Amino acid sequence: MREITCEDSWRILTLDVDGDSDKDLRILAGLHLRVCFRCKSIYDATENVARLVAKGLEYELPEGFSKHLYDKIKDM
Amino acid sequence: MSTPRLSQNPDEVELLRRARAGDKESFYNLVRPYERPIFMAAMCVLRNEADAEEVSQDAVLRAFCGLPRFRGECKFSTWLIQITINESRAKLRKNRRGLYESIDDQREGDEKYWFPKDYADWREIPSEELERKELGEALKRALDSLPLRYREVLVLRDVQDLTTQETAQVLGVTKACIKTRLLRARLQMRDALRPEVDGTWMSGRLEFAKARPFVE
Repeated sequence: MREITCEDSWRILTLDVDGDSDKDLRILAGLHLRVCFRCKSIYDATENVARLVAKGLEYELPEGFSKHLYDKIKDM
Repeated sequence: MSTPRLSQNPDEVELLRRARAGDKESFYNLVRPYERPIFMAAMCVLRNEADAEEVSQDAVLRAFCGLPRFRGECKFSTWLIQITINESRAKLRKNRRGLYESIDDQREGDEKYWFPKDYADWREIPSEELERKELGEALKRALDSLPLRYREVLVLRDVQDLTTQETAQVLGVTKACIKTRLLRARLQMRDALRPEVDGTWMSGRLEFAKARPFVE
């Protein structure tokens, strides 16, 4: 199976962010990640950030938000 | 009357029907589960709580007026968030802060070829070592340091769990553009959260761009 460059690997992984890209291309990118520490590190970093953001990024609604919204709708 | 999408919650379908008939109580109950997502969408654009509260609530009122135009071609929540993002962008244009952050740079130039030329320390961020509140604050500061087009994608996809298709619809760009921006956003977040040379963790400072010429 042919090898791919780091740039190609990155392009495939970008398109595959939903896991729905071409299967053969995904395999190629996966094989590249096994041998390229740099690309593997970058890929792992993006996955790590995605997990952190999903778990830790949240905003509390300001106090009274729901009531203010309800009143505004009622007053329309 | 439009045919609701089969994927919609039947309770939501009924609330929508009543809201279209002018039932404000039903409309409020329809919107209520999405208060936090729309506020978060406004926050990621405006980065100001007072503005985000005002804009997100105005977006809801605009949605009520626009109910006759909602044809059910997407989820109600997606439509609501789209209105919120548009209203937030309009607010940003009006604000003085808008002078320093152009929102006109939302063109789909991101689809051109791009590869990270440099990267910071890629060690795993030790989230276990950060208290939850500290982590949340660090993430917010890091998010605020990102360009608008990356903040929007990151929040909609990774926090609010919209699909790529829904995110593309909300932001008015292609799916390919969303995918490219998402990975770049994640990498810039990672760079903004990198450790200091003495091992302590910092986040969100713009100086990172000088230390690591990573951004475009």
